[in-house]
Amino acid sequence: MNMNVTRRWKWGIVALVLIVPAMPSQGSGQQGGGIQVTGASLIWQRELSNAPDDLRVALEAVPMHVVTSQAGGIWALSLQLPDDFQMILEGILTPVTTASADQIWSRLMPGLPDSLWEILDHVPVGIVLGSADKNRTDRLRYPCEIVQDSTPPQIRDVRATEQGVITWTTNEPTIGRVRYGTASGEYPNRLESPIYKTAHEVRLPRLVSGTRYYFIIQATDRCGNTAETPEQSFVANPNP
Amino acid sequence: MRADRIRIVIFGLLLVSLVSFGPVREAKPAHSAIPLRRPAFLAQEVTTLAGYFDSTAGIAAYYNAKTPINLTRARALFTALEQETDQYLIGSIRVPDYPSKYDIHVFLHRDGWVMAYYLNKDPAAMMIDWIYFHTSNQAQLRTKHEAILQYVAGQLRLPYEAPTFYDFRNPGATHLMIILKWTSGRGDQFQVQLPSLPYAFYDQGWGLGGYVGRYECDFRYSLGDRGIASFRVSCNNCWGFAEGAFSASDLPPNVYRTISISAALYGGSCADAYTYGVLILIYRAP
Repeated sequence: MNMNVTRRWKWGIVALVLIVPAMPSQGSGQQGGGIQVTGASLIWQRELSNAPDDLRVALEAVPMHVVTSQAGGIWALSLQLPDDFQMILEGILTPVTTASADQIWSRLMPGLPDSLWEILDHVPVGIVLGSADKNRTDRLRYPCEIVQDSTPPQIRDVRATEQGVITWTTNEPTIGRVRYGTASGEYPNRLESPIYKTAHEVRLPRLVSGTRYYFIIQATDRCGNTAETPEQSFVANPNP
Repeated sequence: MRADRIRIVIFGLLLVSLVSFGPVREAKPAHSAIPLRRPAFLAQEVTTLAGYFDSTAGIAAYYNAKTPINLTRARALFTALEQETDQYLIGSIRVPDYPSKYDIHVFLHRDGWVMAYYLNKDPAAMMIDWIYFHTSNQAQLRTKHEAILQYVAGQLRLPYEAPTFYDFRNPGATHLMIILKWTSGRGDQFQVQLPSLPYAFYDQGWGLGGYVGRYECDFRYSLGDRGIASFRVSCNNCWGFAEGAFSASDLPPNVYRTISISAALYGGSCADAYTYGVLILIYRAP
């Protein structure tokens, strides 16, 4: 272990560990799975769901950098993998259990292979916690069964500009979709407004000047009820 | 050379995390596969209830006891009753051991649905049951929602199961995260860094709880060097609480921030003190 690495690391990063716990969804401890860490100064966590097949190949050659310091702490790269991958990786990786994290586990290897980089391109970065005593995550879900909502939302105030900006509002939070094309009644293209809200805006890309675009808007509320507007159109002038 | 490699790898991972996300995936409508069976006689109530909760409720927790609820018997549980039909009750219930400020609203439907919720003006951290966490020797992190759902289930002899959470204030949010720090000493801290898009943070609530076994203590919650909240508790075996919300600029993405909690010991009079701090994140995850 080259401790000079750590000393030169301006953020005081103390360790980067590749681990493979399944992330608990509720009531978890610090990191859950096979990892129990206290006294860590930083924990960096990423979650990878439904890893593609080539991840296995990539990870068989995966390099892991573990750098510890006197400051105590651990950075963790957490991959949530299907069971078969996890079993394979558990044969490679050693679960980490530590109380102080001053010296945990070391496996220093060369750089990550390109295939893993490509896979990590699709990995969302998670919230970074350090030294919290407890954390817990709950998924939020609208109580459809309680409100028993089977009424479609109302789509209002539909507007389209020549630049292809389409806006609308709904009377309740919805996700939305604009389906559009250059022939009436045919909508081969679509754009999503994927967050539940009442004011929506999408911009149609790559419009051809002078072309008439036809579109409809679909809005779906939190209970899955969907409404759709009649067809509307506009003539594009993307560069006025 | 080795240092350069490590630096490249770690920077690379961070860079990838920042720039590599594709289009935001379509959120699936919640419960889209659940058949809705709305009785015709509920038609008016359906619209009323959805709109009522959307306009008044904040963080909620609910579950179905899967057994009919005797509303007549349930009436006695409420500190104040706000709506009453032959189908459901809505009112507020006192959370045991907490001041009336923490009374929680409860919806009870005769079909077995039970929902506890705070109002949309209430800070998220009001949900933390500090006393339960303290008395469990810091082992059990429970919300007041769960406390009152368990209380209602016990009083009405209903089955209880872990509830589902929802934040009516933020329909775009998909997750709730509670991050807790406690200390029985002078102080402690933790660090947090929030990611940028495609994550979106709707609410970043803070909460502070202070327990004094004897005499008096000043409790403080800080973000970096800035004091966020403080209060004094001057009695034996008693509590103080405070909660609020950070602004978006307080916890910008991709920046580490340190949250500290402390109990001041003036003249050595602060004894047997426990300080509890929480950060509650309500956010959309990809």
